[in-house]
Amino acid sequence: MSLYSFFGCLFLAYGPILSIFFLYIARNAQYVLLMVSSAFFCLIALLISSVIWYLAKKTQSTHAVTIAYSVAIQEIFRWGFFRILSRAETGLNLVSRNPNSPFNRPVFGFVSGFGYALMSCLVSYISLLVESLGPGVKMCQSCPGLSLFFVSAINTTIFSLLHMAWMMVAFEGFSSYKTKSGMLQITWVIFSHYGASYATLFNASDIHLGCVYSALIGVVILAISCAWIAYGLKSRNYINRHTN
Amino acid sequence: MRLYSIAIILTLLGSWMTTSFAQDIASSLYPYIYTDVSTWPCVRLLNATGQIGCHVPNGAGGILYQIESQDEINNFVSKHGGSKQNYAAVIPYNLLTKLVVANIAALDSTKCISGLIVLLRASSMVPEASLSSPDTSCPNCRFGLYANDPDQYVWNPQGQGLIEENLPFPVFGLNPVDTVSKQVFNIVMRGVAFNLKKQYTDYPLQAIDFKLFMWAAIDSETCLRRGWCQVVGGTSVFSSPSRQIAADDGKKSIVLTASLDSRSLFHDLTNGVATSLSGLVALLTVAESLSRAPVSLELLPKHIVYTGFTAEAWGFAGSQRFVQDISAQFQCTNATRASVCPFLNAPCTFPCVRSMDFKRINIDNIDSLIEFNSVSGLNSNYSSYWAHVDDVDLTQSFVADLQKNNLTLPGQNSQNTIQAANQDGNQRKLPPSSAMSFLQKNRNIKTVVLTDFQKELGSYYNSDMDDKVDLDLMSQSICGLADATAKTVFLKAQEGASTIIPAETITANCTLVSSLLDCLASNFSCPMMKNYFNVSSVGRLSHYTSVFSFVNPQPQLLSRFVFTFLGDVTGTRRNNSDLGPSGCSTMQDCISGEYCIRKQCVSTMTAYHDAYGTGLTYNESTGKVSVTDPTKGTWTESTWDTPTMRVFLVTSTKHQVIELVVGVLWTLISIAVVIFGRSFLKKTFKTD
Repeated sequence: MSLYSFFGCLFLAYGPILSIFFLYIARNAQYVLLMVSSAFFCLIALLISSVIWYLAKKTQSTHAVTIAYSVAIQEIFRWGFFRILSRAETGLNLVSRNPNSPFNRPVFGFVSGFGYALMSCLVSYISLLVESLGPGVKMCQSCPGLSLFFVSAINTTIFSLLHMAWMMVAFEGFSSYKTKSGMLQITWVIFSHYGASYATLFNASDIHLGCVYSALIGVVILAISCAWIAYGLKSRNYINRHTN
Repeated sequence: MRLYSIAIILTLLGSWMTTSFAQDIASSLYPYIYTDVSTWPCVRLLNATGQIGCHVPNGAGGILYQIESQDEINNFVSKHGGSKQNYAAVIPYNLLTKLVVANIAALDSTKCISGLIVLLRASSMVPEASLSSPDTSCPNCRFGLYANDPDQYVWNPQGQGLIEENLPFPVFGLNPVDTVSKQVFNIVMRGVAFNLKKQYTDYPLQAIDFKLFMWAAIDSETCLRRGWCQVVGGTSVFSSPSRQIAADDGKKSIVLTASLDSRSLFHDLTNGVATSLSGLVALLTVAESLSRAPVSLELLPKHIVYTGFTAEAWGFAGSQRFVQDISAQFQCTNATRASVCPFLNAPCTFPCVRSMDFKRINIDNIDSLIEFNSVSGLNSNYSSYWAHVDDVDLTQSFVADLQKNNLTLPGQNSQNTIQAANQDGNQRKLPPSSAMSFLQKNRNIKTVVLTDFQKELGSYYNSDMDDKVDLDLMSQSICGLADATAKTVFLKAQEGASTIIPAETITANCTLVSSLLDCLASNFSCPMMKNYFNVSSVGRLSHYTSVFSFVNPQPQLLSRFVFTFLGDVTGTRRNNSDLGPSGCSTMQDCISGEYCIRKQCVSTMTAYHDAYGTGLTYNESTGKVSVTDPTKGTWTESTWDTPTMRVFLVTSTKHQVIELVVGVLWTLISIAVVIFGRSFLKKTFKTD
């Protein structure tokens, strides 16, 4: 596929991650540390999923089953990371730029989400990307005009954004899980994660233009999550403005 | 704290598991993208003046493109000549001519056709009439008897000369004769059909790439010095029914000779049925016929010596070295060697020799020589054989003797005696043959070279397509020739005796001819072979000489077979006085000097002899080979990495550039969004 494809897919898959990292996260050491911790948690989640996959030899090629337990484990670790973070929150707030800002939690959510996104997308796509250096290519089954590398790059970029969004929604949800909206947010994260993951199965199926459906579903989920986050931020802003 | 320790334990567990059971996505993804196929490449060989063959310094590859005629080449040039896209042409064997190669090489400057895949067999492709020999116009003539003659006869005017060219791109052969090659053929042809359907423009298309790295370069002397090549050579066999033959016994000898192997462009596919295997089969049949003579051959006034030479196609290496060794003084010094002499109970360790049997043959006592050259009958449509001579006067009576015996050939209008090749008034002298090596030392040997051609070597000479065996016709032809020759030799060996025993009882065994042809050409693990060896999985043998090892010289399968066969027909089975013939299962069961052949102990005068270019000398004290005489055979073969070939899909360059543009655009957009978002959020959420 040569270098053109390699760089094309590299930038397509990791564009948002690279730009957000260099322009936002790297400027603040605290964010970098949070990002690394969150990435580590994601890595452990992926590790446990891999171990289960390796041991469950019968279902190794049944992707639906693999998705089922992998997503569950990732969500559990998302919650686990939130628990750790909430214990450390007072300290984190103390050393943050603006200790009393109500936007610290969303920001921490965003940065943690970025860590999750970075690790998850790196692990899932990097091997495929390296294969794209060679001369051969495999075309996507449902969209035969596109190569597998390209379709996977699109999915990777959507998922990176999705993970950031999910973490923010999840943090909101976990911190107010007793309320109805909190539970709703947690449920949304879990179900939309399953939804987006199962949607990627369209890529390898024989459904005509399946890759478009999977990308579309991902984008729609992203849009809804972003809307929710925007609403949450706005209400915080309103509260913040009118209490200060 | 507890959480952290659990995390650390998990990480360690994970890393241990991944390192011990690692199977990364790359290796499991590879088979879905690439199909690795076996290859039969043209490789690099070197001699004193330069190099020949193929070499790919970095990988090469291209889109599979089928070319079936010269017109299609012209079409290709006009359609795709200027594009930067690489192609790999799939062509039939008959299109592998000097002209086509030159055309393609001209394209190579625009990096257009980066390699050739040559199909030896495909249902639609090869019209046999247009085949031509890939060998030069006068093969090995510069090593032959007439090298210094001003007007040497050109034996192969149709020869393409590709076999001695340094080809500018890789060439791979494909001959679907067994399971593996048929599989590869199907994969390649599927790819070609796929591309054809898409008219070579509707990407993605099937492409192929090759790796064929040759380590040696320049010439034999350089590569031997650097250690990147090995000497081309093998093991010749010679045998005689006269177990007491000695150089000084005053008896004359009749030598019957044939070549054990041949050569072609693709060494794994070399079969050489018409070129030389037919000659070997004839020799073995004659030996077997004579072994059933009514009187023991040891008692005849003349010795009969059977010789089978290896590496004849490489500057007559086998015969030249044999003649050199039997005529030179042998001095055993037992000096210190670089490596241990590999032979058990060697009579001399410096120079290291298997046995001294070769010194028992006296070149000056060789009275006559018959060589079985290309004797399949294919070139004459199974209707005639020709006797070529060097000196007409000297051999007049010899040829007349040969013509006294009737030939029975299966072809139409077949001649019933061996014809004199110069009967049309043209004395072309000898074709390239092992006999030349003997004549170079002793021009008085009455020599006849038997062939099935009169004027030209034929289009199958050293061709990769020379594996056609029309079993019935060929075996009847060779059988007829062997019959006539065996009778002549029997009578000739009695020259000088008081009573001549008639030769009517000497008959050639046509079933044997048929079995030999079938076994040696198509399936080495045939029923006949199982009498001699325990073989089961060797199918078609390659008749390429391969490389010679000085440290551990092991005779090739064919040499071993010839040794065993000749040992069987020229030897005597030992009879245990009370128990009948002595049975055995290995050589260790017999007494020293005997061989276990077909489960019986046999004593015979049969021996191996090294065969490699006489221009090369092995210095046993340093263990190094060097070029000492560039005018003689100096062939070496380069060391090479395993050649690889794989088939896969490719997308067009345009498609790839679009992917790049999309990716870069997306990154630029995300950078813009992040910068804009940052400033927007700063403004909107003032405390941020």
